[in-house]
Formats: sequence, C-alpha cells, structure tokens
Amino acid sequence: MQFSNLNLDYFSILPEIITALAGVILMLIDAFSKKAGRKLSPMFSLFALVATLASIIALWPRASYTASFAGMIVNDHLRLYFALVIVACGIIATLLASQFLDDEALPPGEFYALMMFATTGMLMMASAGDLVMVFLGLETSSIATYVMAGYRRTDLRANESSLKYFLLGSFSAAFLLYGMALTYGATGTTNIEGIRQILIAGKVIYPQMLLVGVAMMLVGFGFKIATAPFHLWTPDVYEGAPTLVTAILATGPKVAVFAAFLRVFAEGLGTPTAPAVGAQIYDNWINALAVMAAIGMTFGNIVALAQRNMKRMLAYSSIAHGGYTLIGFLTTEYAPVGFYMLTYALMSLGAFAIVQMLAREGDAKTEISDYAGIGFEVPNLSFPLAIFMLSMAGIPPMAGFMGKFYVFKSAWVSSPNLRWLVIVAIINSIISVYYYLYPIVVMFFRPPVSDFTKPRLSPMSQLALAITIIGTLYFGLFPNGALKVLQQKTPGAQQVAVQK
Amino acid sequence: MKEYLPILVVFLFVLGFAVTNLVLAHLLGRHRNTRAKLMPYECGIDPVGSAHQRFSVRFYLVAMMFILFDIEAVFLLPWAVIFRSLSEKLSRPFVYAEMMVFLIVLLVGYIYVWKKGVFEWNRG
Amino acid sequence: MLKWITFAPLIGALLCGFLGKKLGEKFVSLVACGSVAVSMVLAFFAFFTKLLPLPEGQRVVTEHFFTWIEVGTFRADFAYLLDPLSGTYILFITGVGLLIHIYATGYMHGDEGFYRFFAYLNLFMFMMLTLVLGDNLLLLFVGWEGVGLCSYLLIGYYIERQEAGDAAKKAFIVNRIGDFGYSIGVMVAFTTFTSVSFVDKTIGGKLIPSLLTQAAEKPVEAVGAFGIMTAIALLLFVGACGKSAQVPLFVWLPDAMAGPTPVSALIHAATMVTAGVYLTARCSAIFTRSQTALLIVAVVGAFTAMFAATIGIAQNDIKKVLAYSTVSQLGYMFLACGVGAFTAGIFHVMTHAFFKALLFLGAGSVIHGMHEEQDIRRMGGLKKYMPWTFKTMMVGWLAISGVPLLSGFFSKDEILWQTWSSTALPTGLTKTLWFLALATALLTAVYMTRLMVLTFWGKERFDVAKDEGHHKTEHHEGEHHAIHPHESPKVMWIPLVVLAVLSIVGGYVGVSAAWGGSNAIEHFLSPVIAKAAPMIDTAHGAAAATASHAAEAAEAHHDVTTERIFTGISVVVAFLGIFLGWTMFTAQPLRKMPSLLENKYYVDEIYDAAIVNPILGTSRNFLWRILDVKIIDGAINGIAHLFGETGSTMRFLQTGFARSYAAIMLVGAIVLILYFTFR
Repeated sequence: MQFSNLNLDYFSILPEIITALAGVILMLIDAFSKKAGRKLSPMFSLFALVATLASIIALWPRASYTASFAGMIVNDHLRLYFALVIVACGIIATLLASQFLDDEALPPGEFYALMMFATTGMLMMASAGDLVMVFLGLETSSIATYVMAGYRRTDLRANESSLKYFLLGSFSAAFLLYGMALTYGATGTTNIEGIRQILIAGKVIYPQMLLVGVAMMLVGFGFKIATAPFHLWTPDVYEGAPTLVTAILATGPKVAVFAAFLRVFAEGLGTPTAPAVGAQIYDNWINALAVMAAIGMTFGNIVALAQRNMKRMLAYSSIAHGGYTLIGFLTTEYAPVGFYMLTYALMSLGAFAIVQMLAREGDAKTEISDYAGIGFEVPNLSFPLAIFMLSMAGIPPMAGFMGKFYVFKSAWVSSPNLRWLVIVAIINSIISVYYYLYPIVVMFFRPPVSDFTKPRLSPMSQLALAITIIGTLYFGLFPNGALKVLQQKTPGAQQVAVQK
Repeated sequence: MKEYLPILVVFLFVLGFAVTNLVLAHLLGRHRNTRAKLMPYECGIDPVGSAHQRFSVRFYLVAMMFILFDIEAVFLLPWAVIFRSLSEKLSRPFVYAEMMVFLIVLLVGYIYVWKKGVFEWNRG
Repeated sequence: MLKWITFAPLIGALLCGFLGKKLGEKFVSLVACGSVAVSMVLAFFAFFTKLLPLPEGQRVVTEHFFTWIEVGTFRADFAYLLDPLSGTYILFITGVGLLIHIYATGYMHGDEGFYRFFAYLNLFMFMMLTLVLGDNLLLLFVGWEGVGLCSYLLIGYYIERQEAGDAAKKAFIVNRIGDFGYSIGVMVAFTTFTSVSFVDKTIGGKLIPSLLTQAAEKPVEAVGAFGIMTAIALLLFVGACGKSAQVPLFVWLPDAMAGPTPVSALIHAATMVTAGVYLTARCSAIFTRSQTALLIVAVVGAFTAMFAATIGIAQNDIKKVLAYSTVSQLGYMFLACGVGAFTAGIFHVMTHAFFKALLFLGAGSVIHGMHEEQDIRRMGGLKKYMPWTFKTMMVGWLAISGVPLLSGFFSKDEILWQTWSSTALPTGLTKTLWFLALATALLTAVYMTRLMVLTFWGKERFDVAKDEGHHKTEHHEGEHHAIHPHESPKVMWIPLVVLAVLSIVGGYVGVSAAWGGSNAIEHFLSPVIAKAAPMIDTAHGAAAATASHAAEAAEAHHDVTTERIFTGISVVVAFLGIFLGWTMFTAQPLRKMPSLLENKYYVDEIYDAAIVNPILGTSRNFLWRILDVKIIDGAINGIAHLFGETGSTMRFLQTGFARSYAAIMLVGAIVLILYFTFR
C-alpha cells in the first residue's frame, strides 16, 4: 500500500467522530454517576445526534467521489444521504428510549452509549470505501445491537433473542469476512473502487475464487437485510427483543447495510459490460438477488397472514419490505433504495413505537387481540397505528405508497427483465393488505377488552411519534424534495480512480 | 523461500523454549501429586462431564479483558518496529497520534470496567 | 377555486373529527352539510362561469397546486383538471352528496358515533372529488384509494356488528385486486407514453403531450390483436371492475350494505362505484384504440347486468335488492362504454345517481320507519304510513324501470339504441348484447316492482316470516309486535322530494334527436371523449372496411324511424316488466324464489373455497406451522435425537432452533456458491 494519497481529511469523518466520542462520554457518565446518567444521558445523546446531523449537512457541499484515508472513506451523496437517514432513525429512537427505560426500570446509561456505538458503526458502513471498513462498521454496529437485544437482562425471551441474534449474526459475519478475504485474494485489493477498476480492466487474478467470494459476501449481506433464505432469525429476534430495540434493529442497521450493500454490489460489482468474469458476476448477483427478493417477499407476506402477534407480524412484514427494497436495489441505482428505506424507517419506527407504548412492562401485551376496541379509547395511538399500517400496505397518500410506487416504477422502467418481479411484488402487496388491515379491524371494529388502561406518554415519546406521523404523511404528499436530493448523483457517474 | 528463514528460526526457538522449560521443571521441581494437581486443567471448571452447566460469568469477563490487552500489546509491537520508517513517509506527529488514540480508547475502556467493578472478584 | 371545491369537505372532515365529539350534533351537522354546500356552490359556480363560457372544444380549466413527484422523465402533479367530463361529475357528486348529507343528519340522529360518521363522509367527498378532478393517473389513484378507505371505514361503521367488519375488509381486499391491474396499467402507460397526465406537461424542459393525445394517435388494434393499447386498456379495466363491482369482482358490493344507508346511497350507488365508469370514459382514447378491450368491456358489462338482475329478483333484504340492482345498472354503463357510447354511459351514471340515491334513501326511510327492519317479506301496506317515502320511491321505481319521460328511460334507451347500432363491435355481437340488455331491462322492472309491491302494497306482514328462518333477527327478538311504522322526519323526506324531482327532469339533458331533443349532454361531453373506430374486418383490407362502415354508421345515425321503433320496444318491455311483477307479487307476495338465485349462484362460497381458504391455509398450516416450525426445527431436532442427545431436550430446545436456522442458512449459502461457480 502506498501512502502518498493518504488524504487525511478529518472533516470527512466528523459524523463518526462525534458519535464515537459521544458514546465514550456516555459510557463514562454512567460509570461515574448513575444518577446523573439517568437525567443527563438522553439529553446528551440527543445533543450529540443533532450535532452529527449538522455535521452531515455541513459536509454536503463537499460531496464528491473523493476518497479520504487512503480510500477507506468515501464522501459522496450516497454516503451523506444514508447517514442522514441513519442519524434520523437514531434521533427518533433516542426520543423513545427514555420512556422505555423508565417504564421497564432498566439502567439507562449504557443503552445510550450502545446506541451511539451502533450509530457509529452504521455511519461507518455508509461511508465505507473499502471492504475492511464495511466489515468494521458492520461489526461495530452488530455487537452493540446484540447487546441491546438482550438489554432486558432478566427476561428469558430477550436473552434468547440476543443469543440467537449473536450466534447467527456471527455465523453470517464469518461468511461475509471469508467472502471479502477471497475477493481480496482474487483481485489483490480490498478497495471497492479498486475492485471495480480491476473488473473493468479484466485483470482478475483468480476468477473462480472471486465468484465464490462474491457469493459468500451475498450470504453475509443477505443475512443482515433479512432476505430469504437468510431471514429465519428475524421473527424470533424481533419478537424476543424489547420492542424499542426491535424498532432499532428493523430500521437503522438495515438502512446502513443497504448503503454498504449498494456500495459493494451496485457500485463495486455493478459491471455489466466488464470483460469475462466481471459481467458474469454482475449477471449472477442480479439473478440471485431477484430470486431472493421474490422468495423473501412472498414468504414474508404469506407467513405474516397467519401471525396473531403484532411483533412477529411486523417481523415478517419487514422481511417482505426487504424484498421490495431489493427490487429497487436491482436497478443498481441508489435513489429507489434510499427513498424506500426512508419511508420504511419512518413507518416502521412509528409502528414499533406504538406497539412499545401499548405493550406495557415486559412486552406483556403484544398480541393483536390485546388491541381489541382500543380505537376510540386511545385515538392518539390507534389512529397513528392505522396510518402506519395503511402506509405499509401502500395506500396513497401515505409515504409507503410513494416508496413502493417509486421502486416499482424505477424497476419497471429500468429493465424489462425486472418486470416479472414488479408484478410479483404488486401481487404481494395486495396479499399484505389483509394482515395490515387486521390490527385496524381489531382496534376499531371489535368490542373493547375490559382491563385496558391508557398508557402514559412522555413528551419525548410524543415528539418522536409526531415526527414519524408527519414524516409518513409528508413524504407521501411531498416526496419531491427527498427525490431531488436523491437525484443529485448516482454512484458510478463520476468516479475518480483510486491509487492502486 | 529464503525470506521465511527468520520465521523458522523463531519457531524453533519457541519450541525449544517450551520444551526446555517443561524438561527443567520436571527435573528440578519437587513432585507432590495431589488430586487437583493431576487434573488436566488445574484451575477453573471441571472439563469432564456435561458442558451444559452454569458457571460464573466472571470467567468470561476476565478472558475478554485479557484478550483486549493482549491485542494491545500485539498491535503496539509492529507499530514500534516501523515507527521510524513510517514517520519518514508520513508526518511523525500523525503516526504518533494514531497510536495514542488507540491507547486512549483502551484506557477509557479500562477505567470503565474498573468503575463497573469487573476486577472485584468477590463482589456481589 | 377548484381546490376549494375539494378542500371544503376536507376541512369539514377535520373539524368534525377533532372537535365534533365535544361540540355535539348540531355543530357537526352544520359543519358537515355546510362544507359540502360550499363545495357544491363552488362547483356550480366553476362549472357555469368558468367552464361553460369557454368555446366548445377548448373547455379545459386547470389548476396547479404543487408538483407532487418529478424524477427523471416521470412527473405527476397535484393539479386539478376541470373539463366537461369532470365538470358533469362534480355537479352530481356535490349535489347528490349535499342531499345525502342533509338526509343523514336525520338518519343518524342520536347515534353515538355521529361526529365520526360525518368526518368519514366528508373525507369521502374530498377523496371522490380528488379522484374526479385529478389531472393524472397517479392523483386519480390517490382519490381511488381514498374513497376505498372511506368506504371501508363506513361499511364497518357499526363496529359492534361482526358482519360489518368482515364486509369492510372484503370490500377493501377485493378492491385491491382491482388496484393491482390499475397499478400495472399506470406503469405500462408510463413506459408507453412517458406521461401519466391527462393534460400536456413540461417534463424536464420538454413538452410531453398528454397520454390521451398520444393514445389517440396510435393505430387501432383489431379484435384478437393483443398489442400494447389492449394491455393498458384491459389493465385499467381490471381496476374499474374492482371499484365498480363488475363480474368477477362484484362480490363486495352487496356485503357493503352492512354500512348505514346514507353510505349505501352516496358511496355504493351514486358516486364511488361509478368511478370505474369515469376511468373508462376518461381513458376512452385508450379504450377506443383496442377493439379487443372494447369487446371485453361490453361483454363483461352486459353479462354483469344480466347476472346481477337475476340475483336481485330473489333477494329479500331491501338493501340487497338495491345493491344487486346497482351492480346491474353499472353493467349497463360498462356496456355503453364497450360499444363506444361513452357519453351514453356517463349520462346513465348521472341519472342513475339521482334515482338510485332516491331509492336507497327511500329504503333507508323505510328501514328507519320500520325500526331497523330490512326484510321486505315482513313489510307490506306501508303506503298509508309513509306517504312521502312512498310517493318519492314510486318515482324512483318508475324511473329505473324505464317508464317513458322519466330520467332512467332516456338514458337506458340511449344505451339500448347505441348498443344496437354500434359499429365498434361485430354486428352479431351487438345484437346479442342488445338482447341481453333488453332482457335485463325486463328483469329490472320485475324486481323493482316486486320490491315496491312487497313494501308498500298488500297486507301488513310485520310479524310473519319469523319461521322462514334464515334472516338475522337478533335485534328484534320478542319486540316485533311493537312495530308501528311512521313517516320519517322532514329533514329526511325533503331530500327525497328533491331527488324525485331530479329523477323526473334529469333525463331531459339527453333527449335524443329522434325525439326532438338535442342530446345536450352528448354534445357537451363529446370533445373529451374519443370516438370508437368502426369494426376492422381483419379478413379484408382495413381501410376499405373503415370507409364502408363509416358510411354505414352515418346512415344508421340518421335512421330515425328505426330508433323510434326501438324506443317503442323498450317502452313495451318496461311496462311488461311492471305488469308481470305486479300480477305475480300482488297475488302471492311471498312466493318462493329459485334457491340458486337466492343464494347468489354461490359465488361467495366458490371464492372462499377456491381462493381465500387455500391461501390462508397454506400460510397457517404449511408455511408457518410446518415449514417454519416443524420441518426446519423438527428436522434438526430429529438429527440431534438420532445422535443420542436425548437428555434434557426441552431445556436445549432453543439451541436447536438457532442451529436449525444456521443449517438453513448454510444450505442457502451452498446453493448460492454453487450457482455462482457452476452457472
């Protein structure tokens, strides 16, 4: 490796620096004074996340495909956009966390620290320009989320969830790492842009090895975005983890993994016209992902039909949404994926937040039948939940519709080979209406259960809920702003060759 | 193959060191065998029988602490070796600062686990 | 201005929804009716001062609100378009809507969900007007889904009734099947025309003509040719079938009668269900480019008309009869579209809105007066108790039956004549369709007469038919002796009177030339409606055929005598139907109807057995219980047992799960690697 092009641009990693530092400080606050931690930590995390948000926006004018830190960090629109979504998810989750921790009487300090570290990892994934960075980011965020899944230490279900997540996550990480190693062996570089250049130049040293390596990386990413057949962990983990953690698991990491996935596959391996193995690899992963997407969403939707537990239902639904997102992914443009992830994150966080609020201590009430007749008892929760369900089902003018429409339209227009997938997806979204309507029917059209009491809502939770609702409606009605941002640059458009 | 010769030398040296120590211990040491001493693994958990039994989580904590600081040492060594040559290519404060960041992060972690009472074996 | 037509009800909905519970019934009634009244006044104002003064052929008023989505070459605006077609629609939507709102303040009086009901109803008005005024297919879809949502909420309005919730869900899901066609249709349309707008738009600096203009320039695809225009038209028609309850997607509409009666009148008779006809007429430029599509539309329409009419004869629930009648009338409208007479279809939409809303509101009044009794077998002799309801419903009955000089007569006659004389379809087919339509007209007169006779004439049967069994009587068990029918309050029967007047005079905007009229409505609408090309005879040269058929068509158009004869035939049929119904059902009101018809040809049962149960069963029993739980977990646990790990299986069950998941992942990984390396 040469160091002449090191480009030590510390400003370009300011978001990661802020979150990492904030995580360390939060950890120390908790270690030195638990009391101060309970009060101080949420405010401090929020402050840090808002500062991160500001730093991302400050980086915006500098966005270009200039790699800093010897190609480890890429500061382009893809990175900044996804970083924005990740931090937004972080802010909403932080707003929800204080009530969750109070209600469940859990120690507060470490939760915020873990969330900061997880966010750091996610931001690293979004900014990674190198396979090594992708892996580092992935592990940083994963380890933090493994712990968070088991945060309710005395709860067996949470333990089970955490352990399963950890075991299977490590298993998949091994695939990913091995795949990266083989890719490195076959191309002689771990730099994603470098791999692309080698593929285009047709200078792959060991083509067979590269094929295996790419397949293995696909397994690793497939696990993280929970698509068939690597989705099996999702329902168990999502059901067992505390609902707020489920909300975090289902959104932030997924957004981040899609960012890295885009970087590695759509950008690094997006070489349809490369000679020999380059084009073959492109064809392979496109075909494999198309099948995985179709199976994933069909399986997710049909199994979700039979679910009577809200969290499990949402878990299967998230598998289905992963499938829809993959359709956008197959256009190898980041705009459809980015927009879908934004809408999905908003409605998913909102839905899980409400499930959390209705669930009571220890997630006691998460069966859909527990919601019977609450429609007009707690309209401030039931109507938003109805909005999120309709949005997930893809009913206009909610954001979920716009997300689906944009993904389907992009895929339909981009390639005739993807049209069958769009049709499968539309059929799927019809099936999905059935189970998304079920909670609404139960809430509004069933006689109420007797022992229902109104849950307490802290001002911060209300704010978080308001953000998700307004976001869900806003991006349905006025998606143009976000789409304009997403149009600014597509990966691969103006790439600068990186030193080899 | 010539460049691998030092590795072979180190390998032989390590092997010799271990064997010599074992032999010396056997020759010089006093042999008073108790039941505990004859167990294959002297301290910790009985390795025979079901692996599915509960044992204290502190074993893991200590093991993890060990690995962390072990890696610190492993990482420091090559840094020290190439410090001079690297400083010529890059700026010296940079090379120095990078390692300091790493050490500070570890130090903070150390303070954290200390305050959390990980090293107090008898607590609780 | 156009946006206030739609936003007035939206504001009303928000006010009712958020403040209605606190401020009470008076406030809600005032806001709900007031907002629709504002909307109606504005609609009339816009129509008569903005649209009509424009020269013929250029009657287009657009209003850009904001650009909704613009990416690359795709653009959809939040913009409204007022032209003769949407103008006609907003007039009767707001007009009939206002009357029904006023009626509903009486009908829903005292209901604890009063504010909720009007919030939904106002929201519906907003969505329906957005549907009609939207200037592109995507905004139309917002209204399309929005009315579906409101319909869902209102069908399920009586939350304590299980069947209401089920019916609501059914309506929504069946509609989504239609939406499937619609969504793909929009995408195919976009890839074909790079536009989804009904007006010309500047996209990315380039002026893209509207999709209708572009469609009109495409060559006509003959019957049997399955080109891109046929694909788009048929996909959109799938959507229209869902919304407008055509075979095979009609099943939700009769069930939707579980909602309050004003809802049935407004949504499930007068407005929402005609959205499919609107779509077809709006996209007439696309439909007329494909003769296959026209043929299918016509056949589906005629078949639905006949099919639903036969079921209607055998129903005993007053609202169910009207529901099947609506399905049947919608079939008529599609038949009109299918034979290329889109204006006749829209004409019928309008007159149907008047007389069907009247009939439904009348039925609601009867139900109200009979204390929630809906079974016509337990009515009879009501005309002396409810004079106003009786008189107004009589107008509706005669109008729908096609008695001359009432509105239904003109529009139905127009459809029959256009079907007979159409050149857009093969001649043999048009004659068959005409015959079907005529038979349907006969049946319509029969079942409507049955309804009237059983309700208003004959002996009072308020406590009979209890033993007939299969009617739900849970509300009235033991109290049926106390039924004393009474006339509804003024606030309910005054709208009936207004609608009755409209049902009488509403047809005079479309009196055909053969009867000395000028057919104003056809004249008015025709600039925005594409003409169907004459039938292309594929065997001979298309050009020659076009010429000869065109001449033929022109000749047929002037064939006034034939048209008069056919009008005579339909008059005879109408009176014959009424006579048959009268003699049959005054003599024996409770005669047994064929059970096949009474059970609606068992369509629901067939759908359940063929579609619904298999999917749910697969989900529950196979994918989840077996594949997810048994096979995956079981297989691995089984292996574990095989290797002798029998001890404390229960305790380590969880480990088994994780292991099995890992095993599946491994299999997946191996398959992937093999695919990558050996492809």
